[in-house]
Amino acid sequence: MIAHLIARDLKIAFKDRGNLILGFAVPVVLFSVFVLIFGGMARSSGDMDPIRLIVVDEDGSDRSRRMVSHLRDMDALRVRIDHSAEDSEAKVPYTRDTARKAVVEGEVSTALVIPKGLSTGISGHLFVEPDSVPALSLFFDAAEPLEAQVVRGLLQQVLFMSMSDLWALEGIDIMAAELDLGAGTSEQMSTWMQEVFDEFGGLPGAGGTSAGGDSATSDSTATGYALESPIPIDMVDVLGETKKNPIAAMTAAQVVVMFLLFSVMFSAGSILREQEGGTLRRLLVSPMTARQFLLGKMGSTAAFGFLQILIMFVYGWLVFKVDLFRDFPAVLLLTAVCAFSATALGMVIASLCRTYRQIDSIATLVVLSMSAVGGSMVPRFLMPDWMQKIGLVSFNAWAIDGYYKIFWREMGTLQILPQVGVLAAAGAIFFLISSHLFQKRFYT
Amino acid sequence: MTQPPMLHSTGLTKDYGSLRALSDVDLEIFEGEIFGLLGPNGAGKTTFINIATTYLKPTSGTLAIAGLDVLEETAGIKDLLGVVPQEISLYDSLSAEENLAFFGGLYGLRGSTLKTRISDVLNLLGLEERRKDKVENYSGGMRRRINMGAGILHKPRLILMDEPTVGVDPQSRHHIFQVIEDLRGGGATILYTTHYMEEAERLCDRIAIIDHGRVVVCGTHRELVDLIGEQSLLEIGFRGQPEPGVLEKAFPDADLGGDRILIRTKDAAGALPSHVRSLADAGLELASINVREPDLETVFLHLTGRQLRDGGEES
Repeated sequence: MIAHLIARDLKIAFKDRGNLILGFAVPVVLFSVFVLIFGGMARSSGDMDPIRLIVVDEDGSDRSRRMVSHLRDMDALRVRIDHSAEDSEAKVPYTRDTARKAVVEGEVSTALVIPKGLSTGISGHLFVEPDSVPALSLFFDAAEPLEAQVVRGLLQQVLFMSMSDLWALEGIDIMAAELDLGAGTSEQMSTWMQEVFDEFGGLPGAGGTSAGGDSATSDSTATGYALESPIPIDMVDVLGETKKNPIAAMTAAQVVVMFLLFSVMFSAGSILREQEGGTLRRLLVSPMTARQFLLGKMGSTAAFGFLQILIMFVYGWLVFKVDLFRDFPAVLLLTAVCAFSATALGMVIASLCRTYRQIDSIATLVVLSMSAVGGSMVPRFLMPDWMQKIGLVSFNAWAIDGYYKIFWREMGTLQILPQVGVLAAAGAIFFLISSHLFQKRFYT
Repeated sequence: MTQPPMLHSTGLTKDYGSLRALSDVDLEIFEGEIFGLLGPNGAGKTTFINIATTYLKPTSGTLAIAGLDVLEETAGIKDLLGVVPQEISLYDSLSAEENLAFFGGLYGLRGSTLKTRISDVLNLLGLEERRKDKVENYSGGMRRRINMGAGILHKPRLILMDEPTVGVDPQSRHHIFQVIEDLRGGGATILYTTHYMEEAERLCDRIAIIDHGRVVVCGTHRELVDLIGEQSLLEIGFRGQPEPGVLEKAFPDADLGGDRILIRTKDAAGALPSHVRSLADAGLELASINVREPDLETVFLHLTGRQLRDGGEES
């Protein structure tokens, strides 16, 4: 009897396509997506894509140039010192301000400023008066803390390499003074050391890791963390420093976009509820056209999604101090376009599905997959480059990028136009597809 | 110039793959007429209605409403129609009043006109006191009534009613009939599909009998009944298990179904003794005898060889 019941239940379960998708396809797809994401992240720790670093050399000394050269030699870094001028093809060096702006706008995640007077400031002060040594400034984007830490580690390594002669010579002076070796002995040792530097270009052994390479992000970085930097490094969080709750600003966008998709998908599924309830046929034989019906459904669904996002952000503003009103028109514009685009996508899926149960399964699959690759579950900047590119096919990536720009990078309407344009175009295409599918399906 | 028929179909055919749901249907329905489309489930009644509402496209043939072609002038046709679908097509979470307001709005009713029409229709349906109740709290019969109300609210010129009394209680059926009589008084044209011959007999000016997608016959009730002349229907019930082929041999012209034998005859009383003997010869015990005057059931049986309420899926 029990076997009979089991057999019947399994038979029913395997006849239900929605159940099969939800039970088998969704876990398999999500499993694959997460393996790709976390697999990519794990590989990236040993084979990281080069980090883009802007270097501003205000000092302009031989020593600072040597530092820049060492940084350029690092395989783990892609150093940029200049950029195209706004009104010509000519290259102009980054300044402190343009470098900072580049980090704020997300062009790079880190920028290093070697301050003027560094070379003269450090002579004879490395050990005895470290506080008087001018500090390096490392601008970073707190949204990408991992990259900032890696750059800091590499920078410490470069500093040891670039300052090794000064360090050694200064050390000899201190040692000679401590041991009372006399000026002659100290000078002899310094001269010998200088000859070594001249011949090898640095402290023997120090140049062995100058290329950085694969070990740059592991052993060398570990060394960098272990020792104090010979020159102070000011870590400047150019984005998070002004925010009351930077994590909330970032999380809000990720969460809001995923839940928008969920709610919109199921609202779009009300088309199938109308079909199953018989009201759809009644509507379609009224003076209302199929396109009007779709537009009406889109309007109500998008309005609901729009309100949902706004309520989430208002909650974030009230409770987590998300800076909602810094550029509210930009928020409204992006939210409206997101709601439209997500709704149109929902309409395509609703037009493809035959039953509400199918929507349940397929929408879950689509939303979770897009959320995974699009950055709602794991920020895209933590993913490898190729994964980030794949993520661009998702609704989430564009929407989240737009909200990041507003809330995190403090940009305005003009700067989010690429995201707005892509989402609006995708929405228009989705609408045309759903309209075609709907007409084809319901007028036979 | 004479007005075109309110509905006119010529050679109307609809195929679903290899299944022919409608075959070469020619019909004319005139203004102010209540026209019955009578047939068993699966005969093609709903398919015909769906084409008339522009919801389905015919495979071939034409159908025009007030001279407007269903394929070419859908917008104009939709304005003329009121549709009462077979399934309850309402929003359960809305009240009766809200449902009617929504559907009325689709046909351009607004403001005081809409309010007046809602009150009129609710009064007509006997649901004025329940107007604020959600439809989900209504009985099946009350839902059917509101379902009808939503189709007639905007005073359409042609009302298509697809089996509007399926599964309703006597009280609701009575209300629905009253509404139809009222609409008749107002001069509405109604296409009424049903598989209840009593409804067709009671309500319809003319009736087309449809079976397997074909219109078998069309005319007034009297004309249809006259088709089978003076014949009555002699129904003989029996007990016992007949040997295979015995009944067919004993009653070659009868329709056999279960434990009943249906015989069309001009002289039921005269024919009865010989039929009873044949039954006894077949080793069966007489259970009941019923003589029915000719009706649409008889006509349908006469024309199709089947009973009107034979099962089958509606298409």
